[in-house]
Amino acid sequence: MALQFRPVGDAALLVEVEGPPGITPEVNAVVLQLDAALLRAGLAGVRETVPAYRTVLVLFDPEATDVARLSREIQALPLHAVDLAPARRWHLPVAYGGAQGPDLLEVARQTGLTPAEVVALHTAHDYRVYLLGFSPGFAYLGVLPPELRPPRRTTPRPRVPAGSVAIAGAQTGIYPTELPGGWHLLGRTPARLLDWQREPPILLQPGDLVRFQSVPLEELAALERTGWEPRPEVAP
Amino acid sequence: MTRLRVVTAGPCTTVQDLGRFGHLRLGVPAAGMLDPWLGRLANRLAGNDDAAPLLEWTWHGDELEVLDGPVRLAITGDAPVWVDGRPRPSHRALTLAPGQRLRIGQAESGLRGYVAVAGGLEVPRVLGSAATHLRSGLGGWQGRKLAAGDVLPVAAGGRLDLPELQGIFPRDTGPLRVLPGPRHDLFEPSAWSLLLAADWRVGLEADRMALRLEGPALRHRGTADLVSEGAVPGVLQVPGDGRPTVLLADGQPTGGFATLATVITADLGRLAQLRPGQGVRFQAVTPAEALQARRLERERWNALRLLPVPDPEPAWLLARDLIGSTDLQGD
Repeated sequence: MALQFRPVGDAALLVEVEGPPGITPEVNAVVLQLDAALLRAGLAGVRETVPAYRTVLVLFDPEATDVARLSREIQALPLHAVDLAPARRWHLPVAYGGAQGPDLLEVARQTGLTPAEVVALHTAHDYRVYLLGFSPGFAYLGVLPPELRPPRRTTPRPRVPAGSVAIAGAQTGIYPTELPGGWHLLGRTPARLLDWQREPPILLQPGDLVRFQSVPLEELAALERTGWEPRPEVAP
Repeated sequence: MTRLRVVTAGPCTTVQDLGRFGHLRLGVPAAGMLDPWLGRLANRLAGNDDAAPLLEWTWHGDELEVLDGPVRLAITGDAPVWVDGRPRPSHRALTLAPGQRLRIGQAESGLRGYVAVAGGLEVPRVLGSAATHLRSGLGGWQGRKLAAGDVLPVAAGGRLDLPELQGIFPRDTGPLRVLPGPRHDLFEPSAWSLLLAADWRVGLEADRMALRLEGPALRHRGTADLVSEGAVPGVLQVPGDGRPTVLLADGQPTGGFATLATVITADLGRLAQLRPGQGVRFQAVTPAEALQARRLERERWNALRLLPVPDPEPAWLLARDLIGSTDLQGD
């Protein structure tokens, strides 16, 4: 697949995978392959890489390499030789609505669905983890079915509780810690997306699959009380 | 163990080091000293490695009391400094006895400064770094800014036997230098020339994550929104309203707004010293010029010589029981 190279200042290079516009699993899969190939190749001067939906950002030491050389070397990386770890599937329980999902009714109103239909749609699909960003451990999941794509809230909340499951546009996500946020809050999961005392601290990785399951509030409370940890299965 | 008690805290003082690298892919920003040369200078004056954990103050420093000392401290940043109420110059290292108080006033120029302590501050490392990331409550001193009553432990091993030193790191002046992109092709051609021609002003929304610029609107050709992609400190993001924001070290590692330009790495320290309301201009450079500017910064650093203070105030004059009164305080 063709790559485009865009310098970002004097110490970073954005590598974009060409393909159909928007968010697609095919383009993201190439991004993850490219990222894995970069990590393995250990090119001179490369400090760190950031895979995202369609791009890999490569941070480099401009006194050890340059954009022309890096672009050449990245273009020559053998992507087909990279074996990615098999995708993991997570089943994450969510208590929808109420104080846990204060925007469920508003999302239903905006999309012309009933709250039960919103929950049914949100739990009907596996979502792919496309990238981690925004804040430590925040996973961008997608894509939502076309009927369930409300724009971001016009006024972001200064504090969204950890574990909140939210949607905006074609994306859904889980707030790993208390954060400001402009997404619509549908519910809360007891899964701890981020725990610095745990190894590894961050639960989800790009390429993972997530399936949400609606559970009653009492079950959420019980799982939170017992320090429940989700376990992934290997996706077929 | 020597400790520092926070008597009064500045509006945003955090523990920082050179940053937390290698974890952007997990959504973890580097954080770290926003003006690394000024922070390194404080560490060097204190006899530390460049990366030792220190305090970064913003706009106004703190008042700190030494417990169980003595302790050697170094202050950088353009602000008045008092020891037990007596004015002392900044950009100095000095030794304080138990019970003595250091106070740092409001910045006279710039926005940030540093207090390094010989041995470094003793805080847990998270992902290999002592840097505080405020928004996620990560690292540093309990993941937050300092508050009155905090008692910060000082790591053992600091040297107290060094002379009183002073040092200044020369800075570039003039416009902040930028390279175009990475998404300049999403803008009207006039946006780039407008960025370079306009007088900008730093908005009141300015923290460790980003600062907002006030000036003419920078127009996109079409949409301002992208699917999120990696970002670095210095990128000038322009949302749909045309008002640019420049990311700093605490900024999120991915963003979805079109980026018109990127401030060169040699100017990131100066960028972080801009005060809300201050005017700023931008100048285009070539990649070769950006590299040259970066090399020049390092050459200046390598050429830096710390000098003994020619006529240091005798230590006995600073002893608390001889000075007693703190009626010289005030700012």
